[in-house]
Amino acid sequence: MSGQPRETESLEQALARLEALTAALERVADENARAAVRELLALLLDLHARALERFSAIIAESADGAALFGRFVQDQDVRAILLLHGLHPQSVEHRLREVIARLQPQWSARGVHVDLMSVGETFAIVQLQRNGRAEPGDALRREIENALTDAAPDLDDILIEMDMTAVYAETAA
Amino acid sequence: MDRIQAGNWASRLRRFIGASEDEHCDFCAQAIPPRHPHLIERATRNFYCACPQCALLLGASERFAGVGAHTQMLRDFDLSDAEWQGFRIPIDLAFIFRSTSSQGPVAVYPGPAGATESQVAIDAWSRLIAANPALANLDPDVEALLVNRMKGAREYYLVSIDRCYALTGLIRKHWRGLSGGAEAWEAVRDFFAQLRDGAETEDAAHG
Repeated sequence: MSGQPRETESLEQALARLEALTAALERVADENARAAVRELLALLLDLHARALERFSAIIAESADGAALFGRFVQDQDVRAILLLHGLHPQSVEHRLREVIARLQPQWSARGVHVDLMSVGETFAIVQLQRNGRAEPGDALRREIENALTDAAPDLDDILIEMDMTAVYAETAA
Repeated sequence: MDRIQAGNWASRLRRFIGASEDEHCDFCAQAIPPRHPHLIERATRNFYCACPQCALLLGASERFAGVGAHTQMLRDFDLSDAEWQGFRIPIDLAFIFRSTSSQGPVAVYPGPAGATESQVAIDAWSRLIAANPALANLDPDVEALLVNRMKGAREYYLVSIDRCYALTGLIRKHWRGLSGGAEAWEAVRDFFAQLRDGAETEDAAHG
């Protein structure tokens, strides 16, 4: 596995690679190697977290701190690092509500209404309701899942609940 | 637009770093082997891993109950289609148990998000117990009646509650699209095949 130069790799590609590499590390059989990598990563992240927390504190103390944070979260590269360190100024719930509000019109037009039911420490539950024009198949559901996951990659899982009454009626028919 | 699969990268990396190699008792934090007892908190229905000592100490308390893996097939079970309709459960797959926190029988059935819950009418439940005395001693919170009436099946099991949550978890994992998809229902079929095998083994072991 060779690293790609930053100029040719997008942030999304880098994050996908980060996730794939994490998955590869989870499968490393050598316990000592796994422990050493874990410790190194933890240390590196901790050093960055310390600096970032100082950055955040200094910015928050400044007169236009809130406005600056607003600009940070608009920047995809900065946003990713804030998310990784749990320093994103907006809560998971806020981020999920925002993406749902933004995309609801186009999802509705394609037949599914999306409601955020609950947000916990590690996962959120989202309910989908069909309005009779639902696209068949997986594509729309996956799109919704992906949009929500992008907004909250710091959750373990986003559970998609369907209004089941109609679905079960069809399964039984 | 091509999507590059970057999913829960942040939580995954943090979990990798935070993960400890061994499993620990959720109560006293001592290391425990991969096969260990589980407790369920009656009010929340959360599962906890326990060491044998804590399982023994807390397993019969008001707050927790010990979950012992257990499967028993109920033969000659008496439940007509009309009676089943009376339970108003939208799918032919459900488990029913006596819940301390809900102070009565509760039905849980699987869906894409895991378990969906509904109250069971007391009179329907009482009639079911009268017709099937095996249900009279159902241990609250930890034992359940598992009902499988999918595609013409009429199978009933008395199982420990962990089997039920395993089934709902399995369905959630395999759920695709809007109606579950073939893969989910194949997983359900395999689950019941294994359950039948397990029940027969247990029957044999108990003589």
